[in-house]
Amino acid sequence: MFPEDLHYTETHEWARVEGDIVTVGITKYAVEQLKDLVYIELGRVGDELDLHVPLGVVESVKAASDLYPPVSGVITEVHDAVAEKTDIVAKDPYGEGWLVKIKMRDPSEVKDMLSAAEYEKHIKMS
Amino acid sequence: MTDGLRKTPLNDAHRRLKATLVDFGGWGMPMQYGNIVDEHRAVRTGAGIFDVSHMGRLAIEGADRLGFLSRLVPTNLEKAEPGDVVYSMFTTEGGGVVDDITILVRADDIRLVVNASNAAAVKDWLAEHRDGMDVAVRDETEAKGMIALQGPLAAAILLRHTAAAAGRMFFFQFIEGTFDGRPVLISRTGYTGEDGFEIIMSAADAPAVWDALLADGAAPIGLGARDTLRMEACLPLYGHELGRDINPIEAGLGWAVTSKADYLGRAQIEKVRRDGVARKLVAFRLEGRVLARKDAEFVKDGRKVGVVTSGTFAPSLGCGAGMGFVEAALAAPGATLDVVVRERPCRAVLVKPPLVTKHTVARKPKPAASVGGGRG
Repeated sequence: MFPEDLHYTETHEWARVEGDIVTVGITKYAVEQLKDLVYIELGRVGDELDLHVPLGVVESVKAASDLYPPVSGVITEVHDAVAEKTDIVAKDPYGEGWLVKIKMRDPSEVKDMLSAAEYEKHIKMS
Repeated sequence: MTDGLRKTPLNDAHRRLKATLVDFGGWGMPMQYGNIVDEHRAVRTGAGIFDVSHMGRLAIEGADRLGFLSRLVPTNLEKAEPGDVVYSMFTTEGGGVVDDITILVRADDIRLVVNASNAAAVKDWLAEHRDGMDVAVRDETEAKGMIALQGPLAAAILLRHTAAAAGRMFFFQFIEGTFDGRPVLISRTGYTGEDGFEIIMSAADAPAVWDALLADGAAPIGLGARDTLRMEACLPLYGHELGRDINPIEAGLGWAVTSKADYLGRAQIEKVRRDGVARKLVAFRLEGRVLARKDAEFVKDGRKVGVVTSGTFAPSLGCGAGMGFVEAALAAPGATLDVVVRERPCRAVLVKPPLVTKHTVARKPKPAASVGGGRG
């Protein structure tokens, strides 16, 4: 149900690990739960990110939801286009809907993320 | 998910349409069927139907019913005729609002439509203030269903099912007739700023009326879009723009304060009208890609000057917008203030309500005053 080549968090972010660069977005499950995405507020290139500290916010009509980094590090790229055209995220959450790229500080954090199967189990239990 | 919640007669219809059901005041109600913004736009450009069966519906009977109500609302009811709908509110001794309501004057009784969340409080309020008068209050909420049909195509759709008289109603009138042969009460009222109707039928007939309107192309609309629509029209919501600690004059409802009777709270309401309000209800649009929500603070020159009462995305405007109370001296349309969102100030521009142009039809013209001969 979820792409096997990605890692996941319990807070519904996905991560694509390529060397020490991690591309981050939100899962299709998150998109379906949030429904009406209106704005996405993201940090800036150069921002230092720590685990459990929000890197941005997704605004839907009814509520704002924090976005969390799956790994700690520095933002190297921000996908500015999605900030307003949030339907890109809804249509292609794992591809064109990517949000930020992070240069990892601690590669050992990768193993702490969930696999596709673990993420699916996490959703079923919540 | 919604076990233990009260169900309207349309609960099965919502499930069939795969609505996201939520707990609204103890009722299982549809928040949305798909996308809130799509539902909102459907009402602004075509027609939408809302299940509003959860709203409280009371019938006041008895010889003293008009006098009884006149002591509890700040709106003049003396000239109300059968077929009139009157927007009003129950007020407290201190000049606050217990609930905002619509009053439907019939020959034999007076019907009230009240907020679902306040139905019990209103019934208690009426019982407390009976004072031995010849009135009885009958709760019709469970016996009836209610569907709002709203949008530029609402009248055309309605007229396929009911006599042409419905289409000739002014805003804030009602008639009693049939919908596909089923007895209904239809008012030309609504909570969207569009032309539209609210149809009351027996609980048993509600599903058939709903299905007929769906078949005509009316889109099912949930509470999510109901809120964005009413906010664009700057229509107040109890618990946000209205409450027991809010004077109707502050909330911009002085136009409904017309009674010559000695109603509860009159002294305090008239005092505020005389002395001026300390805070005023304003409408605002946000610059930038951000939404401000209820309880966000307005600030100016580092000082808190107000609070947001309702705020969300306004699909017709394409930006965040809302309403709130601001210190009267700073509450002018065109003024700019900051709203604090996630600890950062965001620029807000105050706007003269409504945020979006309304398309409701005209109200019944008032009869010309006949006293004194006029200007001839």
